[in-house]
Amino acid sequence: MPRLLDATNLPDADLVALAQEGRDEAYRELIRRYERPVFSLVYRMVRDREAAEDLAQETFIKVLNNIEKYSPEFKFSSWLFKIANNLAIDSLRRRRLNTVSIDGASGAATQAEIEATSFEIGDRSENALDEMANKELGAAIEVAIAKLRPLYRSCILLRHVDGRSYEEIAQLLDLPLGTVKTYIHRARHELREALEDTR
Amino acid sequence: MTLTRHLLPDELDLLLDGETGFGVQQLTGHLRDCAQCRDELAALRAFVLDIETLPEMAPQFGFADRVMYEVHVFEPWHVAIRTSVAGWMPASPVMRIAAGTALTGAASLVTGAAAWGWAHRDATVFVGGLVTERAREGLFASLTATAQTLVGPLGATFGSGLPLLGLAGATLLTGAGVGFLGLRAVAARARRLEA
Repeated sequence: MPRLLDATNLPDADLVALAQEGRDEAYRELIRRYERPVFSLVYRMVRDREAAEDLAQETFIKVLNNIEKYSPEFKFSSWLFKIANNLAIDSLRRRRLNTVSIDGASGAATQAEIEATSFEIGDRSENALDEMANKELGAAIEVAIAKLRPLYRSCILLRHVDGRSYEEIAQLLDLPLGTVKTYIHRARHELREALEDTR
Repeated sequence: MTLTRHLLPDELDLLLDGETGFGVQQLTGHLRDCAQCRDELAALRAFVLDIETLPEMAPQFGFADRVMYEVHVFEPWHVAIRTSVAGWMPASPVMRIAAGTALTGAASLVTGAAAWGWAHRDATVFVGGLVTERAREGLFASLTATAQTLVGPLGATFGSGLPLLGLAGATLLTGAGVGFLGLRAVAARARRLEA
């Protein structure tokens, strides 16, 4: 019987190694450590609690069921957030069937880029969010972020909510570094404009 | 050379990100002289701080259990063996040292015997043959006696010759099979945890 593990102080890489050895506590600690950041990211992307819950769950299941494929040269959290973000973007694309799509980014040349940078007005939760807006700055920021194009939203959340570096975000989203910087700068400007009246 | 205009939004972003590349020095130089751009940068920093301090959200209670229900926790065979061996290790340091010494002694004896056997191959082969022959005879005799005891004269009829050898072979194979499965069960203690 393996000895009980105090996993709370171990770095991610050690926890992953233990999980690869089949240690249940290591799996649980990885979930405990990242459930909030992953859920927050996904929720702010899709703005639907139930969907966010499912997507966060799917993210962890996908990652943990493939833990033996994890390559230690990358950060575990980057891998996790990459999958979470991809699932959220896929979910938004699927949901687009029920939404009105606004034209993509001005710099988008191909159909794929237009799709990736177009933003959507949700058919159900936007009104509720609008009602909540302007009551306090935090809520207003949440609403403004929700109105950003999906890739801008990913970039700004990863940069300023999760504190990732530009390089990490580029790797995570499979985008060139310059594109990530441009998206973040544009997203900041759009947010500031949206929050002009609130502040 | 200093700038004669206010900083552009992209230039403020560069300063916000703490960039140090070419041309940034000119921007910081302008910042020292221009209160308006300083205020603008401060406002931008405050705005970013507002985003950075957005609260974390939590999924519903029981999230980890729901995830673990769908996760297959797999213990590789080499880990299972290691764990089993670790389980056999004595807890007290004194006993560990004693066990280690005994194991080392046994290993040395086996190594010494193997080396001697290799150095005296002819004798080893002769003694090995002798021992095998004796063992075969002994096994044969005991199987005959067992068969006679268990099934009487009928057993005695079949207790000699090929049928008995077949029975012995089948017993050996069954024993080997059971041993193999047992070892496999210990080695591959792979388990699927259902929450």
